[in-house]
Amino acid sequence: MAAKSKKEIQIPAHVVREFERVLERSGEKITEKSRKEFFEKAREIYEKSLVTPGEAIGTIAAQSIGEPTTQGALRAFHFAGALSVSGGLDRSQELFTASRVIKTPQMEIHFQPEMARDEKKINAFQKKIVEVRVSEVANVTKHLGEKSVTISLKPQNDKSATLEEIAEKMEKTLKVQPKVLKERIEVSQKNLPLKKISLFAQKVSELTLRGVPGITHAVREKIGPEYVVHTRGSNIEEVISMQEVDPRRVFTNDVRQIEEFFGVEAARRVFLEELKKVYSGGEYVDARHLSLASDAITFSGKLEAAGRTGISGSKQSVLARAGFEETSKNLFDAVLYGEKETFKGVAENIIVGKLINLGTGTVKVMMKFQE
Amino acid sequence: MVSTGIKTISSIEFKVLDPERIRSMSAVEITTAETYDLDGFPIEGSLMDPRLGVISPGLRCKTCGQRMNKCPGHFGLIELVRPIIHIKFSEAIRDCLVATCHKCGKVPLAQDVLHGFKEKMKLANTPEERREIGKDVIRKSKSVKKCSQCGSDRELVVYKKPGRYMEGTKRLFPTEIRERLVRVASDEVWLLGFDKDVRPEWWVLTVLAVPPVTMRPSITLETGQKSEDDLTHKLSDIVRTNQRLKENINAGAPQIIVESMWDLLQYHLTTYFDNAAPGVPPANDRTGRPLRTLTQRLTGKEGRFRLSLSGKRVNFSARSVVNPDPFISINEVGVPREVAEKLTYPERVTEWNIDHCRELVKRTEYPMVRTVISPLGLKKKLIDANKEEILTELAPGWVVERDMIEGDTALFNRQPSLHRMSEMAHKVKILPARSFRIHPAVTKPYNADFDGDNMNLHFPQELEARVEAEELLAVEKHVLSPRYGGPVICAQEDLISGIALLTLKSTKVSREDAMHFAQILGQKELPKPANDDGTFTGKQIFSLILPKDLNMNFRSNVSDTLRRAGICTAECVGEKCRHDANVVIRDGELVCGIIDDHAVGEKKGKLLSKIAKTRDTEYLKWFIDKISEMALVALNHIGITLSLSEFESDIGKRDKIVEEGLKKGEKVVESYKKGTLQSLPGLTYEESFEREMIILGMETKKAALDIALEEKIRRLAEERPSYDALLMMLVGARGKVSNIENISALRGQITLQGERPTEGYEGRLTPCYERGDVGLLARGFVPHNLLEGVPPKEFFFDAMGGRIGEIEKSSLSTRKSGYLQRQLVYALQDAGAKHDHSVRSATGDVIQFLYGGDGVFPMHTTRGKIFDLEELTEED
Repeated sequence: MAAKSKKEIQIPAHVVREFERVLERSGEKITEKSRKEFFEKAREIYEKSLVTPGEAIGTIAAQSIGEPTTQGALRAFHFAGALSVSGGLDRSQELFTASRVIKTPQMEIHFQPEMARDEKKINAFQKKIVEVRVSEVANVTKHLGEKSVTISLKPQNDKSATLEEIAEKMEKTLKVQPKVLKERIEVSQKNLPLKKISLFAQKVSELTLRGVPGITHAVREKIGPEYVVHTRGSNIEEVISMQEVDPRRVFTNDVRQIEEFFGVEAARRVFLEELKKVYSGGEYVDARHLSLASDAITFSGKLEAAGRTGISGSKQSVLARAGFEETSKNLFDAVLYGEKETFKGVAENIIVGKLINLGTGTVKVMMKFQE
Repeated sequence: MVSTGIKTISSIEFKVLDPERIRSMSAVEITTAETYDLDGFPIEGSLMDPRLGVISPGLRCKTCGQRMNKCPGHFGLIELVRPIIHIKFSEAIRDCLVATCHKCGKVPLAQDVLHGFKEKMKLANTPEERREIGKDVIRKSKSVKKCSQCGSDRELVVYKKPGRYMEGTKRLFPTEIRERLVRVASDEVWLLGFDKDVRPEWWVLTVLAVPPVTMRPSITLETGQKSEDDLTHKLSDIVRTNQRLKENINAGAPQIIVESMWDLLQYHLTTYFDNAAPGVPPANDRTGRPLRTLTQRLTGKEGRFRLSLSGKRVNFSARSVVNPDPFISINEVGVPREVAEKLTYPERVTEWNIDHCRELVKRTEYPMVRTVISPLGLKKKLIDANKEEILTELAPGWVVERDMIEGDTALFNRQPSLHRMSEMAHKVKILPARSFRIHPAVTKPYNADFDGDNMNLHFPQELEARVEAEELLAVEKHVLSPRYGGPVICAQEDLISGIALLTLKSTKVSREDAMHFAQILGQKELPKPANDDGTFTGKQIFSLILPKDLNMNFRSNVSDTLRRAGICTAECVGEKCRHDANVVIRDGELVCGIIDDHAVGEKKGKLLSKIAKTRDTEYLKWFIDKISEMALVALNHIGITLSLSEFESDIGKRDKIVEEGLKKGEKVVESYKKGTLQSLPGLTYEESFEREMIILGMETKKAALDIALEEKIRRLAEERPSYDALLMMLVGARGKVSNIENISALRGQITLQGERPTEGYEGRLTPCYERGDVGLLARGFVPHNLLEGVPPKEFFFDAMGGRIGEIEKSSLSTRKSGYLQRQLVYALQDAGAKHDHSVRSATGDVIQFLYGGDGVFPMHTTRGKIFDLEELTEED
């Protein structure tokens, strides 16, 4: 190597802090001199461990994330409170395809200090947020002949719902005039065509009676002195605005919801945390790979999938897109919209047999022949 | 790369071919559907016209005069009697019709709206942006009822199916469509987001380019019959239909006949371009197999892109079964003679190696020269007859292609190639027999085993490639994984057992054996025997391999296991541990501790990590080689074995525990049926019950295990554990506690995806229990262990669990994870580290300003940490 460059690489602050921690932990007496020596040594190690320019770290990250999933050693489930949350391959796939519907949406809710330790209040809160649908407390029957729907309470009704409550809700959301009788509600729908009666009955039974839409279970857990509630189902928009809840400590594993509510930067953080949950323990993957993946998926300004609907489908290169999926569509679109292939990425250069612009292909050698 | 004067592509623009261009570039107009005359010669003006190129050896091309393989082939054309819609442009045509006026050909929007769009369009830089704006224009224009430019009334054009457009109730024929498209000025095309250099009427075909025969070669079958390519079949359909349509028109056939003929031509052209177009029945050949037409040739896993362009076939490769050979180095690969005789390396003759090359040329057996290449690039096969002549001609500038020899560098690969360690550079070692041989320590990165696995060998040909392989892909440079910053090339299974046996406190090594070890390591002197009887301790022997300045202190796998069993406590630190579980290395001397999985195994492998970080790769390679050799010798001398009796346990005590468990189970069932069971928070009544039962099953198993292991555990802590099976588990060589559980204690509750199996017969899992029985035994609890044997009905439950696992693994997860891997790699492959340690995409967009937040490459870390505490304090 040529003479060492004089310009020193700036060490990020958090790395310096790590140096400090290591120094403290070493348990030795720290003098000004030993401190200086230590930092010199640390800098040397740090500089040695930096990435080599040109390293195809994208591919390395992708392989590091993808490879353990093929080993099948990832935990398929883990627990948040008493609720199982999906993990492993399925979860990984869900994250990278940026699914709108996830298998086990889950929230972690912390509370305002005045009620965080009060078991009774927490219990009430749990009851309050779990969604209760009409079908859970009542039987909905349709009468096609009379074009009407009747609703009667189920005998075992541990949710203590009343007919009035149901009727009120129906009036509000379905805009109908239900008749409350002694033991049932009757709704006549004379104007509806016969086909729609069934649909209407279904709508009634799926009506949210109380609680937060989407939340099906709520479990409390004592962490330290405070209670935390874990939920199955996620609805950050409604939960965060509830009075009891500490708005700064509401978490969800639904990255899409986070993106919609807080924006990409937050989505990136949550995405990373969720990835870390999948790749911890036995099949450990370095956090740097995961952070690169999270950045790659969000750097365009919105949460993108990894596949053809996302990053791979929005590449600039025609050939790279055609080489992945939907070959003919990509080629014909290129023709219609007058695209130009400029061979900047990896896939397109491989296709035409050129050197790629990474690794040893990053640099070119120039020689002076005169001397 | 050496400049060879070969042109490289710098960019490609995608356009639609102008009909005039097609006419000017074509060599012949095709007018007859017949291909060969009675004598078997191609007919002029047919699809096999000799002016379209040559596909048979010996002939010369009638257009360019070149021979086969040199002549690239030439296009022909078919003049279509009536215009035909190109299926792939159908939607663009619809959009263009919808968004322009049928009279004046202008976008029918009001002037001010139009102006806004124009300004927006001017600012757009990329085709994608223009496309998005164009879509807006089209959407807006769609609903305009009256053209704001010329005032004529508009009706919406609807695309029904290929070639069929309706305007209200009137069908728009391609002729009419083409006329309308002609009226659309280029500026309007631009405003719709399309390429303005392409005329929209070109989307409607009036002349069809016929690909050269080189693109659709005919094959001669064994019977002498000629079989044509699918494309030729389809093209001949087109020619035939086109001719008939022409005749019909000329004969003045009724409109309806002409139209149906026209539609047929449309169908043939549609399937010619895409035989899987939605709404079009695929065209089949005589056997009923769908034809492979243009789109099918390009798309999918077997299409041109993924089969021939993204992945290419190679020469100079070999494939065979792999076998282990622990006595070769980790960076070597055993190659059979048969392979070495086939693969060659082009050795460039220079003034420095010319004598050596002459010698090679002279040879008549194995390491010999097969062909030579003259400076003019002529390849000559070396035979006895021309040997003398070539020897005199041989001079710098020639290339001799010599056999692969020992010491050459070759790339070795096992598929699926899931990470970069799936292909590494090894040194060739010629070995007898016909399989490839690898060192067992490199099985992990390849994920290889020896139950019949095949691997591929590639022999780099260019000097540059060879150097790159040696410098970047060498096995010893990949000991640490970039995934987690720990060793992937490491001791495994028997190697761990061996090295652990050697370092056991009880191990004594006689002087003769010690000499053996010293000889392996190339040590000339032995230390002073530590034991009074003149024997060496195993630790002394192991220390021979350690560098003299090495200091380490860590907990072994034994320590972890014993701590979990409660035998070692938190006070067992360093040398203080009675069970010799902590490893302490002082000045290259193993003071105490057993060298096991934590020292030389995967991921943790502290000793290996340390060596990898502080020494050069040559030393590291030597270290792993020697550790393996020592382990094997130790295994040979000391021996390890196991017997069934090791797994025996007190069945009586176990049965008592099982009985208790079952009783508890009955109680739970009872209260469940009464409805008095306490619901768990957040779960329904049934879910709570199931959860309770599973927990009960697990608790029972745990209790039984404790009994089974109670006595064994005590034995484990002995100086030389008398149970070798447990020893293997203890040092992390193979096996887990759960295996012992199943063999010695009981099989326990079988779960399917985390739940007790419930489905089967009506109201019960198997017919040997009563309906409605929801107890432990009725739903998959197996109270026996594998050693004593499992009764049939319990065995059935066990098999249920196994079956699900097998299905999940073989059919579902491999497919899913393979696709996930492909998606991820494709999405991230352009991201590379730059000189400022930022990560950027192909187009130069910044993905991360500082890679991973600190710019540190995980391969250079210890499990993610930039440095170990030990690493620093030791050197101060």
